[in-house]
Amino acid sequence: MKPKMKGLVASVLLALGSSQAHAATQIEWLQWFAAEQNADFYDTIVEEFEAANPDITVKLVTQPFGKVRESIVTNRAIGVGSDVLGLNMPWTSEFLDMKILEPLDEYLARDDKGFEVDRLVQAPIGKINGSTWMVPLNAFPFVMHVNRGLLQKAGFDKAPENWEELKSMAIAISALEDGTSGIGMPFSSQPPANGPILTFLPLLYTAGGRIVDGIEPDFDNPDVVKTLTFLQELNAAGALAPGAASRTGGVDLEEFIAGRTGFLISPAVHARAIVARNPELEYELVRVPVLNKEAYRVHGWELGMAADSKHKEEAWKFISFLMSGDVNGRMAAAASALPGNLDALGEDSGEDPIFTAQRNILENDESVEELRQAPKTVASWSVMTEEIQSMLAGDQTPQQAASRVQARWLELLN
Amino acid sequence: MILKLLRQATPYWFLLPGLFILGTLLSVPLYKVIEYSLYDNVIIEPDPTFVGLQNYADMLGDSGYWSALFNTAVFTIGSVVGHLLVGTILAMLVNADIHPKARTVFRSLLILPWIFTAVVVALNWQLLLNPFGVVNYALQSIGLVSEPLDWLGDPDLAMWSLLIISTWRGYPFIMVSFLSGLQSIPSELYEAADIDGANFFHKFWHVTVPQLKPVIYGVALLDLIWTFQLFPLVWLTTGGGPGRSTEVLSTLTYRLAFVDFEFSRASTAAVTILGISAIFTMLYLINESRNRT
Amino acid sequence: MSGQISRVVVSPKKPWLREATRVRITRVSLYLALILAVVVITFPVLWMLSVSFKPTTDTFSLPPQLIPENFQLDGYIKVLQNETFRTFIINSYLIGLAVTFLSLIIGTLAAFAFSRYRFFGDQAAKLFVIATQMVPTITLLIPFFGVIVWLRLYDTHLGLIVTYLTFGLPYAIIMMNAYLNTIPKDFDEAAIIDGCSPFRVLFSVLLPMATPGLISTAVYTFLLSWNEFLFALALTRSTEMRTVPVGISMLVGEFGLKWDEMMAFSVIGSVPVLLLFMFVQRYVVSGLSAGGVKG
Repeated sequence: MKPKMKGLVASVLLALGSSQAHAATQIEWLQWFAAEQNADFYDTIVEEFEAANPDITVKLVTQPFGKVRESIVTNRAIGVGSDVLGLNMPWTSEFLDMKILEPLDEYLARDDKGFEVDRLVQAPIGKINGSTWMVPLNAFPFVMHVNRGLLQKAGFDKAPENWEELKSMAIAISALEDGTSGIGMPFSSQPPANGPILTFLPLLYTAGGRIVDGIEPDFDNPDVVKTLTFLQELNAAGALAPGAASRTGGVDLEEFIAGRTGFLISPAVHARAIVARNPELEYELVRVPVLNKEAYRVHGWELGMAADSKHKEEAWKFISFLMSGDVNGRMAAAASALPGNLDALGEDSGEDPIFTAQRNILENDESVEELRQAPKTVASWSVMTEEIQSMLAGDQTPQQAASRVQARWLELLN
Repeated sequence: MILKLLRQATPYWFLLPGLFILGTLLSVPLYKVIEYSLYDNVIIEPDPTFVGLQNYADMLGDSGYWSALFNTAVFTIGSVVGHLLVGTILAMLVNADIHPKARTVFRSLLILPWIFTAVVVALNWQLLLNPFGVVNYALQSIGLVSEPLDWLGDPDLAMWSLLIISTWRGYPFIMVSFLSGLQSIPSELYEAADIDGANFFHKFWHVTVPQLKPVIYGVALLDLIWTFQLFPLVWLTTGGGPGRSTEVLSTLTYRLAFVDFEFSRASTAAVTILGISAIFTMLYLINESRNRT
Repeated sequence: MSGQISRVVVSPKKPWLREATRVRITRVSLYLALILAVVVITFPVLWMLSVSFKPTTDTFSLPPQLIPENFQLDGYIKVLQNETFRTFIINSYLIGLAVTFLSLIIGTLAAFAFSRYRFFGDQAAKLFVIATQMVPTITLLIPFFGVIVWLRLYDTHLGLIVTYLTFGLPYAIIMMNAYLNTIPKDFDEAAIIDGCSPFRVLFSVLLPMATPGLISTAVYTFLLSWNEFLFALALTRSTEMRTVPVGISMLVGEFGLKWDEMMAFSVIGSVPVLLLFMFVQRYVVSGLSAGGVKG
């Protein structure tokens, strides 16, 4: 207790002293990144920035991922919003409706920033309503994780490249023994109920399909129906892990790590957890099996600025620091992600097949991100979850599910 | 004269600190929730428009609201009955005449479901009830079911699962409250009943229940009001699903507020919860004042 | 009360078994029932313990392992080494104890007024007290948050303490009122004739007899603040101000869940609660017999 008290007194004195010496501007950074892994690393980054900018202090406000979207809205309503915001692309259109975000065009046009705009991962900086609203701290391409051990047991020696192969291999793996399944589909309503954007969208994109047309919902199109039909066929053939309607993304991942599912469609960032936690798994990372288009869904952690921030210059300085080559590279490595600033992409020595496979996907395939401009995105994927549950339970056809989602999504907009 | 006035003021002095805290902190928020329900697009828009009772009209015309209300009724009645049943039985058991040390241990073990935060309770039950989880494994091993049941994913089972979880989580509150009530019943009353040759159930019905009545009513009312708007456990365990089969008013309210960002509509739903709870409370107050005169 | 069943009872019926045998049978069946209840009810908690002691991969193993095959303490080590988690635990206890203490005092005073006085506006006041519990907290959150910021209590322990006080007080008032109502008014009247002030009546006469009620109120208010998550997260932003449920929720990440740490953290945080409850339970018995003698 005693040293603690001393520390407290010291820090109070320090705070008094520093506020007298040079009134440093404090900016707040609301994010969930430090909760994901490596909290200490984020403190180090902040210290580095403060050392280089003695007139600015940064307060890390860390929240669990599940609460950040809601906190940004609540804090701003009360007038205690943070200056720099960690963002998830699907929240964009809602935040724009509420005028929470500051347009970044003017800042991006400046010369004194630590990065080149055209070297950033492009999807997040695409303009909406004529402006850019966020920059990519890092990027997670969606991939398919493969349990080669199960695959071989089922009589196959290479990972599936297209839907047909995926289906037949998944069926074969499900047939292996009790407790193994071809592929998991996490369509639980348990929050965040985002199964459709984890597994359904990546498949849809390889069929060249989309769910948004411009900024309008477009869910009842033939590509969507085709992809839903594929899910239904997998289900009917017993290729899916049982209990899709209660399966969360978390359980889906854990059962793959435990070696019980053949395939897992999820962000590439999971590769590190898989390899670290189950070193005995014969693991391979591949692109999501393709119907007719080599495309991947790209996800990432983005950075934005609050429109009502009183310290925009300082906030931008911090963002610019986080995006600069060296820092961005280290931040990406800490999150097991690819950097948002491609200049920070390390040399490919060809030694790490996981990294090589990701880089290969990133360089050759089309990246797709349409949730940024989708309206009422978070509510819409709950609707997708519910209608897909009902389809898998045999209560409606893929076409009906697609039409119902479209109708309910449009209803949400009124 | 002054003395008399002072004496009349006595109860107000006792009430003052409590009412002051509740008044300062909660009267504004309560008022705001009601006000929000009369506007459109509050919080999101700086200048929301007054729409009168339009939100109420819209809500009453929404089938989603009625189905949530029905689910809430099932969930509330099922849970409160479960809490009272299990809570009462266990309160009687741990109040019985056994070794004092054993009694303390049993009492403490039996409040365990209460001491974990909702997210842990929800995630743990998700593990237990998973198709590959230990509950299905046990049921299959003893041959009760042939295929694993999807307890939280099957629309026909999800509400039952939720009721089991809610009973497990909620009975300790009743148990502890009743236990305290049981302990304040003078033992002479039981001794007198023993002399009359009363059996266990007779004593329960004619001594325990009448003595406990104020406590039973108070606990039941609060449990009813809380369960009626219980949020974290339901949301974190099923998220209202599958489909909307376990969507209750509180999860609907949350969905409106923080998934759809429709705070006016959320407030409208909240005000109806307030209204229904107020009816329970009036019944309680009427009953209480009748008992006192 | 303890010992009342074993007392030799003058029964008009002829006992069909020897008294001692009957008592023994009753006692054995009581123990059996209790053990059964404990086994069924604590099983989910046992499972939590089991998860906390095994690598996450084994949490999802098939068949499920109740007794970990690869027993490990990693979750506990990580939690115990983490200074932040220690802060969360200390905060939770500090806030919980403060809330409990204040609720008991303030709640009992109000309950005494409701239980022992008829006065203008008593029913309305009671309705208001209960009404504060009737709106889902999720909708109260934003306006309540505004009040807390306005009072300059945002991101302080005091902010959380007054918040939980507003949640806990209604229970304290309603339930202490109910417990006081179970005590016959003859006791206060006797004391008043002896010249006691209302305060003396409450603290020297009624409260000793209402100790069990105080205990259950204390348990309730403590656990309320111990378990609460939504406001704990919204009303704080600094790590130094946060509580255990917030810490636990941080382990539920965007890309995965640290099962072993989460369960270990829950267990470590909860053990003192359990010990506290045991301690309080022992106290109840003595408090009661004191009251019982007077009755």
